[in-house]
Amino acid sequence: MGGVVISTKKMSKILEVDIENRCLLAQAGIPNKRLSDAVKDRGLYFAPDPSSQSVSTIGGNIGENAGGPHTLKYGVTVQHILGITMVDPTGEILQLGGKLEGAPGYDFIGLIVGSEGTMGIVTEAWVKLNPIPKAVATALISYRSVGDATRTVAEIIAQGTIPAALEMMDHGILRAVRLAFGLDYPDGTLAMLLVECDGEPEQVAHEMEAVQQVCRRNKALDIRIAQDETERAKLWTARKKGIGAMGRIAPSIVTHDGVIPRSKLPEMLEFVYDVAWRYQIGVANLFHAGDGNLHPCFYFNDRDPEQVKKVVEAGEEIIRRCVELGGSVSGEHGIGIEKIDLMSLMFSPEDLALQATAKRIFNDGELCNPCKVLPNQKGCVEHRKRWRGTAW
Amino acid sequence: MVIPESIEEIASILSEARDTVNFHMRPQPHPFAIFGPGMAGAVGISLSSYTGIIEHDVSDQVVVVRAGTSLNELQAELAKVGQCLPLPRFDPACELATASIHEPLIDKIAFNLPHGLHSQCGSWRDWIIGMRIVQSDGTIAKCGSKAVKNVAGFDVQKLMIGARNSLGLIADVTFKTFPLEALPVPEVQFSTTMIGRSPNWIHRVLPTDFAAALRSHGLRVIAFDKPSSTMWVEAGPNENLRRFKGDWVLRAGCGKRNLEFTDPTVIQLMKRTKELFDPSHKLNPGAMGIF
Repeated sequence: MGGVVISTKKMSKILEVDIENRCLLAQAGIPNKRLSDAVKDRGLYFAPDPSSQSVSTIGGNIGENAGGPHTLKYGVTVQHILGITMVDPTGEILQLGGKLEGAPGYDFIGLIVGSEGTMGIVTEAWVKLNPIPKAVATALISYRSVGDATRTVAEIIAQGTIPAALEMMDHGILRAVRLAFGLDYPDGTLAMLLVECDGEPEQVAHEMEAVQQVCRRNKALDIRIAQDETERAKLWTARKKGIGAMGRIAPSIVTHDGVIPRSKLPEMLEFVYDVAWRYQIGVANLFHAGDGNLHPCFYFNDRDPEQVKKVVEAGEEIIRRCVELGGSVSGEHGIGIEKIDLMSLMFSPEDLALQATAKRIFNDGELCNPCKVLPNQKGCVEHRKRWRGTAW
Repeated sequence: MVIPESIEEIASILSEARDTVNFHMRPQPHPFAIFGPGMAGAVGISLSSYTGIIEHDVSDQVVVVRAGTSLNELQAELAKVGQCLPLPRFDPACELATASIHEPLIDKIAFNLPHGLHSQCGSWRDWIIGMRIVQSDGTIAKCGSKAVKNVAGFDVQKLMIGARNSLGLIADVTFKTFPLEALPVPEVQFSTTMIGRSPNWIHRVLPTDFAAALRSHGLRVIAFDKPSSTMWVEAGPNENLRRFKGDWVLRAGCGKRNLEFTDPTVIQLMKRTKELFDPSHKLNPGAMGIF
């Protein structure tokens, strides 16, 4: 009970930009997108682009090892962090790494990124910058069935193409996006894929042609290729704000986060629809389909405690199924307190003890998000009861 | 030398070993290893019989493999289904390039040496999504998972990569694979006058220092990779080549100087990590230079 919340909101400067070495140093409180905005006129950008990038900070991205639609080709946040400054729980300021990656020694940065603030507070980071691709092609493909769309995803990857992004939206999301942004799509569309290829112009043309062939083989209703940057931005707005658009349909939404092997996508989607039907709550689905990361989005009325309870229980059922199918309880959003009880689905007591040992490298006490990530930490039972109490 | 055939045997060896334990796969240590003073009387563990693919989800592009498997064996199996680990066929760090591909995965991962496609395709820290390790007291534990995208818990497998088995023995590794068809052409260039020479100095500098570093090392350079600003060089055992701000070096044949850490923060954290994972300093004593 009690505690202090520390916000890095006022630490939002870019401290140094090194264009020639393709990196920049930023404070933790800066929104992700501002990093790319700062260097785009020099032909560079910061690749990790979670849908929240206009508001989520680099410190938060580091805490959660954030992903986003372009993870498939460019990797997650940890692959773009070269150095960090972190204040550990004793108040020591630690500087790890710098401008150059791959240094010998233990990979402390790899451990800290994704540790959800439990090892200290990251205040600054050296981030890697990528050259902006010379060419990009974005396509929106409509399907009469979710099965056709998920089979397309599997085939694109299996044939050796690595698109920059491979996203899927079902009819629940599409309906909301049409209401909110006027997105137009053929009648009978129950699922859409957003595919993006980037790189050298010839390579992009070749990849997008291969993608289209796969789509046609899997009975695509319509394939729309963005003709210019304006249209491309419009297609991406519809995807990145899809969940926000759900506000047109219901007063409240909860977006869950789980991962399954890509090959299990069709089976998992059927399960999600079945769960929603059994609990009688609405669901819409957004997937980072290329890496099997699903975001079932339940919409409901949070003034009805019964609906709230159903949403929590339905979410847990879905996450449990993810693990049963060989996936993970979280692909992007982290464990926090919400999923602590689910950690034992993936990790044995010995596995969790190993993680607890790693945490002690930096944090041997009760500070820094003490009740997050690892179960059975002392003093946390009351904390978790309080969280449950808000649900019902 | 003990040659276990199962992870339970490995666990038993480690839990029973009262003295130091040394992991190596060959009569002589890895060229870039530091053969610490404690290793002379150590129990040697070889994984030469702990090999093979445990599981391969072809369509999901995930493979689980025992760490004693050679890189060549894994690549050959993956190639049958059009997949690979994105490494070039040659290894600038090896005198006989083809010999390097016969190294076991445990050595590759434990040393995490630069390779010729690092800038284009990443490295072991990017491809390994899970591990089973055996800790110094014989406990078997898993870290990471088989999901190619996963943020559940702490990524302890990251600590093990490049740790030269000083924190635990890497037994099983889960990789995400790469489509063979998409493998880029490496841009490593070799010196025509240094063919067949063994590098004993691997040097990575900032891109802005690369040209100056190449000029400075001159005819000692065996190979270089501009995209990752990395050079493989032959230097005399007591020779100190020019260093640059923010760079790093890996050495061979220089004893404890094979690995040098100078940052007091890093040294303190590494020592703390060693105390937590291997309090009796049983595992590969001396392997990291500072302990």
